[in-house]
Amino acid sequence: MSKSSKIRKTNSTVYISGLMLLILVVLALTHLAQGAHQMSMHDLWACLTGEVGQGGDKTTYTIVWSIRLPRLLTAIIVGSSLAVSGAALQGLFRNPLADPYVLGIASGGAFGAALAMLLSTQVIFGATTGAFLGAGIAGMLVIGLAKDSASYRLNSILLAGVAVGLIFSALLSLVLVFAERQAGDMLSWLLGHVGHTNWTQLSVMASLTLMGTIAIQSNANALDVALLGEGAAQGIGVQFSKLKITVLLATFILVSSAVAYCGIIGFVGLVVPHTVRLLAGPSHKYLIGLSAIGGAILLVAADLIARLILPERELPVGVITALIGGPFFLFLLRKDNQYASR
Amino acid sequence: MLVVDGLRTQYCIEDPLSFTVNRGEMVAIIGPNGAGKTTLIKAISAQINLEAGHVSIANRFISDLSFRDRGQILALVNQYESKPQGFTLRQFVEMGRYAHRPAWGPLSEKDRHMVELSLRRAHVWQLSTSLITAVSGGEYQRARIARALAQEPQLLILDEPMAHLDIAHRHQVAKLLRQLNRDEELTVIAAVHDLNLAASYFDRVIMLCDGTISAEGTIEDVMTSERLSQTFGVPLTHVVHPTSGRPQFLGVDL
Repeated sequence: MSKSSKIRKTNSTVYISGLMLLILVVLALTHLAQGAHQMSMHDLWACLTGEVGQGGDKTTYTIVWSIRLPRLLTAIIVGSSLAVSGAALQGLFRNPLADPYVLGIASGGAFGAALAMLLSTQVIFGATTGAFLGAGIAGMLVIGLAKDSASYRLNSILLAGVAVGLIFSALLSLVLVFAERQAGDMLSWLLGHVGHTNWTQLSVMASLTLMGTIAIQSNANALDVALLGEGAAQGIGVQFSKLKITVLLATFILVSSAVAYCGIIGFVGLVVPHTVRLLAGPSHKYLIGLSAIGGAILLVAADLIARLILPERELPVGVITALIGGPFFLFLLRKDNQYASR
Repeated sequence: MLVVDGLRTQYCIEDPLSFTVNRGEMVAIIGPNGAGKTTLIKAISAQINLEAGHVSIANRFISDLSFRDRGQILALVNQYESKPQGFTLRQFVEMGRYAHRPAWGPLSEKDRHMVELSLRRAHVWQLSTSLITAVSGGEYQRARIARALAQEPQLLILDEPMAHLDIAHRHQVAKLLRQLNRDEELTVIAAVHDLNLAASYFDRVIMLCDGTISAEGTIEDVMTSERLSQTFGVPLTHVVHPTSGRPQFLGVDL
């Protein structure tokens, strides 16, 4: 009996991953083909495989390789980063409300970006560097403030993160007040976007995301055990202090690169891990990887909608993720009352 | 198996405390509330730092062991821990294999075998597929013991394993510990509130009072009605259990 249920469990996880990957591929192809310049799947394929070089249909080639593909990959990478860090933080803090932004890193990044925009004319480059700096300072502040006596207690980290986040949000508001004319640009940057990255930036993002995700996935078993609480987890052999620092640093890397390149895209990091838990169970072994796919799906879908609804004036993708993620999550909660009542 | 030498902690245990537990023994730590039972449990399982003294398990200082090594020698069932949401009882017991597993990859054949064995030994195998949040208090406690067994420990340390259970489950858990101790030669140390359970199922008692060991030895030597009445501050009458022959204590303060 137990053996067959074990096999069924594994099979259903394989089935769910397969299905999610399929959805992602379909969405990705649609994302590439659709938009102001429509192209057939055949043309798209020819472009991607290089059968049609730059000599052929130059416009299509340029649109795919310089605009849509970087944009698609940005959405995939950022969606994964946010969902993976959300999953890890919810697990580490044993708090279903934890999301990638709970530790104030993102607020630091947003403030840094806005300040850079205010002081500099080179908007995009300045904003990214500013965001990385701001996120780094916020991260160091959180770590510094959370240290009580010899150890870091989870609640201290959480409180320090919330406090640092509040301070940087206040500073951001101050910058927005001073910015006057630029405030609109800043706001639309902050609300989330995936269309401003080039291939160099993409490769930086991709390496940071890969690093962070591998660090978290290699602690998947420890994160499971950590759900028992610090004392019990240590009794089983988890070095909790090391786990905390590894997961925090990994999420700092994931979140600061996401914020630096794409602003603050809300909801992905909160909703995707919960959705994956409902579909595939709470074990981090699968949760981390499936959250990565789920985050990519949500963000690619959101960006597709953002591009299609108002082709002339792009909607901030963060608004769309909340608008589609929220109702979907509520639907899942209603369906699974047991989860809701926990 | 366990040697405690001159142990002091920041709170509770202010005078150096020493005792030894031999391989295969089953020892109860008893004493009134606030006597330092939980502090002593935490100190010998390296959950809190020592002010002075040493604790060694199987001839190795516990402070020299890595968390992973410790997880392979010593299993712990604390008084409180969080229940992980959405895990089945089997997955819950699989967590006990953490210190034996590499970071990547599925459970090995040996891991599966140990989980299976632990589930059966703690009599929770038939609940394998139930959610850990859905089982009763006694079943949950047995599941925690199963998880501890999956660690393949030489020493099992428990803090109030029978607390908050009804009389049937209290005896079930105590009997389970006794069986594991007898059949697997597992060394067991437990803080126990219920004097009658301690007297019925354990070999030896360590009695704590105000952070020092006030008495130590076999049940018959240590658990006398005078000493217990004085330590706990309530008149206790010694009776002999009519079927088991073990000492029992009745307390009525009218």
